[in-house]
Amino acid sequence: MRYSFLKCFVCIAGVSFACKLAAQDTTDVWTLSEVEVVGKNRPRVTQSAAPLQVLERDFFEKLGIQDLSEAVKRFSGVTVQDYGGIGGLKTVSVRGMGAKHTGVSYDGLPLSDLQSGQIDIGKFSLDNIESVSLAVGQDDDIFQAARMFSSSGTLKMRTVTPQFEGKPFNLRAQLKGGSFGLFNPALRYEQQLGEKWSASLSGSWQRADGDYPFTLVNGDIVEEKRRNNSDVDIYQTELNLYGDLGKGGSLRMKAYYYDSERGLPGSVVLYNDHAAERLWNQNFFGQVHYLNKINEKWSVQANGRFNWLHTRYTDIGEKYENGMMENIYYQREYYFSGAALYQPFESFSLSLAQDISWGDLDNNFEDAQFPSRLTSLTALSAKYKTDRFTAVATLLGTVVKEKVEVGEKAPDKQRLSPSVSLSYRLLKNENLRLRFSYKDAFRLPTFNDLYYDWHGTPSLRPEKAQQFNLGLTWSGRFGSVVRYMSLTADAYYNKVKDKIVAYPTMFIWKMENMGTVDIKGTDINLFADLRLTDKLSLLVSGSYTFQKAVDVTDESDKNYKDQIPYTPRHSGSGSVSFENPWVNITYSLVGAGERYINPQNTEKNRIEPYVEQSLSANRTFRFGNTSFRLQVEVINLADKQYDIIKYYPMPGRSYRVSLVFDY
Amino acid sequence: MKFLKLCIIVFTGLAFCSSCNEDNPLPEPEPTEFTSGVFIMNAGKKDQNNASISYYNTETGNLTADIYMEQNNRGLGDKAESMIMYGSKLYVTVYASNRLDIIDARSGVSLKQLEMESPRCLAAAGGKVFVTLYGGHVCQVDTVSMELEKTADVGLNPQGICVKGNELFVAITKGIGGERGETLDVVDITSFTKTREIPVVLNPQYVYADSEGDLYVFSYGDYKNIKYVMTRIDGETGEQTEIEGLKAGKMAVKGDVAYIMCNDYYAEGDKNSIVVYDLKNEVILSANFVTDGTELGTLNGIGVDPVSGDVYVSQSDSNNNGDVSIFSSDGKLKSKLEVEVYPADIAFATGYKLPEE
Repeated sequence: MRYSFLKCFVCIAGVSFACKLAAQDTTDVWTLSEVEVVGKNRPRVTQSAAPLQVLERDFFEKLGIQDLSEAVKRFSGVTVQDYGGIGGLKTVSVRGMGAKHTGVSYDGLPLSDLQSGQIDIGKFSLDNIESVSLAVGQDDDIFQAARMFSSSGTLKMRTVTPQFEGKPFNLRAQLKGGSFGLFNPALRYEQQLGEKWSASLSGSWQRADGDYPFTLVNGDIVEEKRRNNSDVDIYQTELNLYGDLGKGGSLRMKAYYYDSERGLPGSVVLYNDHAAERLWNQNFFGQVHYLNKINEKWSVQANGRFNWLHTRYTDIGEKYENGMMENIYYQREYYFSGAALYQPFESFSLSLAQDISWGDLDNNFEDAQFPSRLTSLTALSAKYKTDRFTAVATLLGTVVKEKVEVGEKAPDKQRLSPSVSLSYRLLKNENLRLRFSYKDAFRLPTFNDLYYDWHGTPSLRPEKAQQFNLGLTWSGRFGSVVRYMSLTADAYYNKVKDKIVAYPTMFIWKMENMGTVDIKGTDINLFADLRLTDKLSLLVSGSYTFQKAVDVTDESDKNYKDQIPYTPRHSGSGSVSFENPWVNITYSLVGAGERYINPQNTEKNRIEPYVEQSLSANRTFRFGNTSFRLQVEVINLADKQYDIIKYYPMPGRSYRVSLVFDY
Repeated sequence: MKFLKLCIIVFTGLAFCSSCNEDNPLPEPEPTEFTSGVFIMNAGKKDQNNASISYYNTETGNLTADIYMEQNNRGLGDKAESMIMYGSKLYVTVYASNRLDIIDARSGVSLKQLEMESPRCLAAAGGKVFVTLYGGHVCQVDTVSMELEKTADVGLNPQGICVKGNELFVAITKGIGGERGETLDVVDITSFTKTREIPVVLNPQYVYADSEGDLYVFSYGDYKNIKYVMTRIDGETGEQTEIEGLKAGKMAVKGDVAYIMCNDYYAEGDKNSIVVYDLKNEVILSANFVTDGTELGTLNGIGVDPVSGDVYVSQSDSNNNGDVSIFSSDGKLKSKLEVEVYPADIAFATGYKLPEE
């Protein structure tokens, strides 16, 4: 199978090479910073050889989106697991492959959590974010850190780069408030430091009680209750330093600190309202990104990051020794990455990226094994791009060395994973493209999978995911009304093998490689920018996903060919923004069809479909250099009671007001 | 509703027989004991509020998936832990819901939900039901008033419990507390206080007493270096003997024969087996009860029909609906029922009926 792909790829590449001389490519083969030119982004979505979705600041502000998880829910092909409320865990699974296959990057460097293998995307506020994008498979950018080639899907966040107009500083003050005790002030200050340097400092505080009401149905009994122990208290600060050293390259340094305390309301338990679990998270990271375009043919980049995570979890109850359970975890990671890009012709480029990282985990468990992991990733990529044709191929090599201080260690691992993507503009004068991509990726067993207390299994193999995508994209305009419109439709097939699952023995649960999942689906995305009159415009967006993700582990299983848990067959989102000189209004909705809470698709395991609607209105007032923006949002307009995770109810109707002052 | 009717006949039959025996000296036709139905407690999955009780009518072969919901129009709760039948009532501990549910076994109607923190296992004697609480207590519930009467302190995270004479033997597990979990704590029923501790192999989970007063302790070890062990404690000398080779989970007893469900995680092939053990002569009668080659899967519970001697074993992977396999006493599979998630305890309703005219 793989052979024929390569053959096909080589063949098409050869033909296109010949045509190349005639074609004129106006865009760069690679883009330094994807969001430097906002206008480039929209076409980028349809030009991309692998499915790509982008939400930019101006758009998610209109929608009234608060954190990364709310933005991601707008994308097609994803399932966000949301435990409800501001403090509830939120993770994202791309095309049924599971949250641990999704990479998340912050300003170009991937985040990591060796312990759980997944990133809580509810943790990232969008206050300083310029754009959020999701690439399924391998995106077209071949000049990036090797770890960016390692995930089946990658969520990228880009922070705002300061722009100075007429004065050497910018100030933004923001205040948000809303239902269930939400109070969220934030400040950002940007300063120009001479010709070459600039800096920004931002900080925010967010607190909420989160004690929203919900309805509990237990057979014939219907009770009106409130979530309890659901408060959050979050501090976040970030310092950025930007340097443009001309021929010496550019430098971007960041220090980030996050400190939170939250109550965990837990699942709603029949006949028992007790909830006392608490969670403290502290996360510091410092990162440096250096980039130098040495000449027309050569560019290099270097990245470094130190990441430190501290988690403390407590629960109180008589059943614990001395009435309390306390788990403490520390994670550290040192990460270095270097990449070189060689572009002998305008249409062809080659890159090599090498990452080295070392991370460890300490905890206060009696049987703690103190694992650490040394990872080397090497990515070799080639890209050929003309006006009509794009081909990208990457080969990623992974070498992992595992170590523990106590007990049995996991075996070292090595793997090669290829990916290929192609895009071809079918008609010369129409932006209609056909695209195909293939990616072979895997996720390593997490430290929890390997070593957690009695349950971990050190001998676990990586969980593999193969993806195929075939799609059509189109973008264009009609007359004076439809200024821009894009439509993408993709069909995909994924296979996840050696899935790592908890398997019960008579005595305890053990982690085992024993699942196989077959995923077939379709993603459709639509975006249109309509100019009605000079002052009135309409932005319309919509996405729909069909996903048949079934368990094919064993024919004798009761859930054989049943839809995997928490993965809807049908889901979608849509929005309409009406822009006018008075009050801009956006209506949006997000919905999902029926889902199952367990692998077996029985009536008892089924959860109801839902649609959540929201309304947002804003107006900006300007006084000279100063602008003032007022935004009001009504979330879950219809007060729909629904669960994404069963017995973790989502909030009903709620309100948010935000004031943003810019100077 | 069919269930309700049948059970009334059964239990009324029992009452009728005992009264007529007293009043009428004339010889009557001998009533025969029979098993009317089997209750299967489905523990469910934590955080899913899907604990339930299935009811299997042995006469009609009908299975009611969730008799508790059907009769009470509400759920049993979150994560049931264990169930026993005593007199005409079922007692079910619902661990995460902090409830002991007392259910009329003739109808499936919940008579009372007693609030208690983290209840685990159950034993009964002398009109009282004893419950271990994971916070380190044993409590006594009266079966008539259905009130909590007494509480005794024992070690942290007690699990299995059995009655022998006037004493309760409580397995103190390694549990979630940490370091402890190497004793059987003994509670005197009259004074309802802990009187002594018997040191045993690490992490005892279940304890059973046989008719001669010997105790059988199933220790699960630390899942790593100290493996699971089944120990017999002699009723007279207190001497402890390891019963070699048995990695025992739970057991069910009929007369002096115990059916022990075993799991050897490290074994090749089918890791599960049912061992038949003679409690009186203290010998293994059969290392493999199943004689027709039926694969067992992961076992969660075992019960033996006190009348017919059929052996019921429950199997589940904890995600999908579980099964109950019914074996005849000679180890041949008779039938298999799909119940709900994680069937873990099995209880039998028996009664007497007069021979039909």
